[in-house]
Formats: sequence, C-alpha cells, structure tokens
Amino acid sequence: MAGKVDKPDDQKALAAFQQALAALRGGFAKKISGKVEEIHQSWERLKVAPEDGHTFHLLHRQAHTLAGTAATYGFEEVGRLAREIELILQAKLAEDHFTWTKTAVDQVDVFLVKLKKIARKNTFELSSDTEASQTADAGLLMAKMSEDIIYLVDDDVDLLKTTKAQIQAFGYDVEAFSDLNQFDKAIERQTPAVVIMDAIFGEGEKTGIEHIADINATRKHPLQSIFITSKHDVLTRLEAVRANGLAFFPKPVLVEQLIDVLNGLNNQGEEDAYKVVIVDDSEEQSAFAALHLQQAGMETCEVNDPLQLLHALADFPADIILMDLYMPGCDGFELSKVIRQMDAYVSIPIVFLSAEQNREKQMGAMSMGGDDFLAKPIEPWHLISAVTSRVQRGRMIRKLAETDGLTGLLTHSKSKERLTVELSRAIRERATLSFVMLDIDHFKQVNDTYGHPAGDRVLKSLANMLKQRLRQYDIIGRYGGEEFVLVLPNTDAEMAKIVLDTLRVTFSEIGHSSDDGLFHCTFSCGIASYPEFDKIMSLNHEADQALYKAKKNGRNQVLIAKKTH
Amino acid sequence: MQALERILYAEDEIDIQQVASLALETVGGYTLKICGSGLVVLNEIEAFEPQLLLFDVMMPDMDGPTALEKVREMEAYKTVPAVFMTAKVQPNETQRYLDMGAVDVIAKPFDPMTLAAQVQGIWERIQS
Repeated sequence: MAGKVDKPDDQKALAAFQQALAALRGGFAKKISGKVEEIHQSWERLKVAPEDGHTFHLLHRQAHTLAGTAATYGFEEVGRLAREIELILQAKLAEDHFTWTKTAVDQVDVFLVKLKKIARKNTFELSSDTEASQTADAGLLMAKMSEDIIYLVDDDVDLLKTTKAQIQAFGYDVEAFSDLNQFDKAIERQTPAVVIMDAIFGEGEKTGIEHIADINATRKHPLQSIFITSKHDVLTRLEAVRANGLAFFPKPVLVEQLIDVLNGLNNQGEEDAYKVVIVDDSEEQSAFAALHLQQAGMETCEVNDPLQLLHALADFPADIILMDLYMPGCDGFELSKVIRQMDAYVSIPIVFLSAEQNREKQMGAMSMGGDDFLAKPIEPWHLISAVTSRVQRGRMIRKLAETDGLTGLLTHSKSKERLTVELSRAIRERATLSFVMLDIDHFKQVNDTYGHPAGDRVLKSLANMLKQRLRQYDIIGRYGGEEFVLVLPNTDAEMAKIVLDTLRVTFSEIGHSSDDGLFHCTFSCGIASYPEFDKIMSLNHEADQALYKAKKNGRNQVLIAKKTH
Repeated sequence: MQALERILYAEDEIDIQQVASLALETVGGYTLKICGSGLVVLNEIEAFEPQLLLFDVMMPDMDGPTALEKVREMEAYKTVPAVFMTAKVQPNETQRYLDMGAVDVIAKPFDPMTLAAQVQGIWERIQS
C-alpha cells in the first residue's frame, strides 16, 4: 500500500518507481519548449486581436496546464513562470479582458521571454523545496525577471550617448535617460538589473543619490545602483552607501570598471549544475543515488560496467566520481588507481560508497587514490551535502589552477585540453567546429605608449566582451600575452567569420581609457575548422598561419584557413 | 474497513495522467480508470463501479464540479466519495468544493511520491 515506499527494505521498489518517474520526467522535459512556443503563439495572436475571446481562453488554458504539469514534474521555475502568466490572465478575466494596459502586456512579455530562455537552455531548476519556491514573493521574482536591462542616467547627453554605446558593446541592454521623470516612469514599468546614476544630477536640484534613496524607500527590494560622480568626497560616498550603492566611480568613468561590476552581478548564481559520475554495478543503487542528486539540481552519469568508466569520463566533464568499492570485473581500488594515472583526471575527487565496515580496508581504498569514504546505506541528504562540499572545493581549486588570473579565461593548457574534448565530440557527432586564434594588433605599442595598467585593461575588456557576447558553451582561453583562442562548437568557418567580424568591429569601437584620454585597439584572427582539418595539430597550425597572414595583410581582419590540395 | 481498490480519475492533461497513474497504480496498487473529461466519466462510471472519484476541477467539455453534479443525479452514485484536484486554492475555495459534496481537495501540483498516501489517508478518514 501507499505507505510502504518509505520503508528502507523496499528500496528496490522505490528505485524502480523513481526510475519510471525519471523517464516520464525526461519525456516531459523534451516537450516543454513546444508548449512554451504554443503559449507564445497564442499570446502574439491575442496581442493583435485583444477582443478574441477564443484565443484568450486558449491561452489561459495553455498557461494553466503548463503551470500544473511543470510543477508536478519538478520543473519549478517553468511552473512558476507559467503560473504568473495564468494569474495575469485570471485577473483580466475578473475585470474586463478586452483592454490591456501597456504594463500588463509588458509583464506577460517578460515572463514569456524568461520562459523561453529556460526552455531553450534546457537548464531546469529542480527545487526539492516545493513550498518555499511557491511562496517566493512576487517582488523578488519581478526583480529577477528583468535582469538583463541596465538603466543609465546622466544629464550630460553626450556622455550618456558614448557610455551607453560602450556598455552595449559588451552585450548588455542599456536604456539611457537624461530626465529623471522619464527614468521614474521606466522604473515603474520594469525593474532594471542595475541603475548607473550620475550622483550629481542637474544644478541645485536634489542629487541622483537622493533620488535613488527616495525610490528605494518606496520599494521592497532596493534598486541595484552604481553611482558615478565628479565629486568624490567622503560625505558623497557615504550618501551613496546609504542609498544601497553597489559601487562608486569618479568621473571620467572607466567603462572597464563598470563592466567588471556588471559581470560580477551577472555571474552570481549562474554556476553550472554539479556533474556527478556514479559507478555501481547495481543499476538500482546507482539510479537511487542519481535520482536524489538530480533532485538537488545536479547532473548525473551512471556507469554500471566499471570498465566503461573511462569512456564515460571522456564525454562527461565530471566534478566528482562516486564509486562502489566491490564490483565484478574490476573493483574500486583498481579503478581509482587507473584514473589517477591519467593526467586529465588526476584532480577529480573520488568518493567510495560502500557497505565496507573495516576501517583498514577503508583506509586502503584512500591510499589508492580515493578521497573519501561514505558508508552505505547513506541518507539522501547526507549524500547530497557530501557531494556538494567536495564539488565546491574541487571547483574552486580547479578554477584557480585553470584560469588566467588577469582575465579569468582558461589557461593555455586547459584551452588545449578543451579543444581535444570538443574535437572528439564533433568527430563523433559529425558536427562542425571552429578553432580561432585571436591576437590584439600592435599590443606592444599600447603597453609602451599608455603603460601596462592600460594594456591590462585592454586585455580584460576583450576578455569581458568575448565572455559576454559568445555562447555559454563556447570556450575562451588566453594563450598568453595578447593572444587568445576560441573553440566554437557547431560552428563552421563561415559562421565563425561572421561572428568574429562582428566582434572585431565592436571591439574596435570600444574606447580604452588612459591618462592621455581614450584610445582604440583592433585585433586579427585566424580560423581553422573541422571537418576541413581534423587533427589538433593541424587546427592549431592552420589557425596560426591564417592569423599570421591576417597580420601581414594589414591587421584588423579575420581570415579562414583553406585546405590546400 | 473496506479496502480501497477502484478509483475513477478524471484529468484531461496526458502528462498529468501519466504521472498520477504511476503514483496511484504502481505505488498505491489501486486500479485506476482514467477519463479525459467529465463527459467520459458519465460514460464509464457504471461499468467501472468506482469506490472513489478523483476529479480535476478544470477540464474542457465538462469540468469537475459539473461532472460531479451529473454523477450525483445517478441513483447508484449519490454518495460515492469524491475528491477534487486543483491548483493551489484559497481556504474559502476549498470550502466551496466541500459544499459541492467533495470529501476533500488535493492541491496541484501534487507530489508523485506521496499522492497515493494522501489518497489512502482520505479514504481511511472517511471510512472511520
């Protein structure tokens, strides 16, 4: 009967049930995109013909259904967004649904954009804490909704224009205001991710800081604000802190500094799901662990034949390996030794999961390269917290070792490693891949003319622009000096050239600050793509040659390496 | 106490049908008759002889409350216990469903892990 599943002796039945549930869930996940698209189409139809009652009811139903089903399958965020849309429609139904205010239309639009984003990314937040997420307050939700737009406020119209263009070059949406009334109206319409405000606005009026402080006094969640000012005494700074200022920059403001703050905000909570490999010869055991870890938002890869582990690791960038100690064919001791002999996997934490009670044997397992030992049966919450803490630490250490301190991009060796992984994936999946070598033109002159700090800011600007403008799965590395590399999966040479040319033009328009005012930089690129070139060596060599040619041809250009027969 | 075996379940959304049938059949061990709308309920109810009705509130053609009204017009089903399933409701709304003759309301989204236990709990309560 129903209560049975809670008893541990029925773990088999539970695992079977959870497997079936996971399968249903996977099937549903695939359909989310289509359902969101249906909602979008109905909404667009309704926008054109607001008096169309049939479309209204259809949309209401679609939103209602998605809200209910998504939540049932644990896709909390999708469910919540769909519910928000449903609630807006319900409110309309209660009054007069034929008239739509701009605010209401914007609200639905914002929820839809967010829904589409989630559906596209296919990254679903799996919150096990249903209650908490359902009571998440609407104010906070709205604040999260519009995280993409930045409001820029300054009464100096020229400065406003140039700053807006500069921030946009890094891929942010910016709306500029030279008038506080318009700004106030915009705030009512949509909460921006950040407000960049001139601290001293106009003459003799109240200051920009006071204005933000007044707005914040009426809001549940204060606006995230950055103040820029030509007056930077302690009192003004203090005022800024009291108005919840995130940062305070003297004029003329260095756009690079603004972008650093914005990127910092943007990267909060965007960490990839933890990736856990579970090696266990029992499918039920691994499915059980996998389900609980998935519910905690992690990605899992189950390996039931220990001999397949290396194969799995090649495809699945594991943060941690959970391994059963006793398995047929090859036990955990041997397997961890094998893994530790491979350079690429030497830093992945290995945690043994076993019913082994003998302390000596446990210690023995560790000496073989295991990092920890968890005794079975393990409570799900214990498993989750054990995995979480190890992955967090592992990631931090790896990040320090694998990223370049100045730009936060991947190091030379790590970029090469990622290229290897991506190339083998492209070959296997018969996909395209482009490898790009990028070099800032006349960089030595920049350092010599404007000094090394200015040169470093150029490097950081380029890194920030690449991070902001390329796709999440594109790989960006700094090979050293002013040389960067990109690995663009699923991108052929022509497409890569279009992308890089756009970036090249944008980058050339960014004004870099120095003691002598703004200056500009350009870069050159060489592109080599798979399948034209199918070896790491040849991709590297050909991209390098194309880059060399681009430099020789006069720089500030992107060239594709062509295969010579 | 009579054991609960046969549940007539009305829900139009196929994704919800699937997860509920997994929860109620596999976990709960009940025999389930799934109906895609209130109209189907009226066609199927006599052949199936359910001990409990589990109705989604919002369905096309005929919604849950209307279906229950029609079912109550049938002599044999004047008293068969009915439970509504609906998206998170206000307390006064719950009361409205109870006034319609439901014995309880299950909030959607439900937890597939505990749905069977919830239904069993309701059954045991009304039997005692």
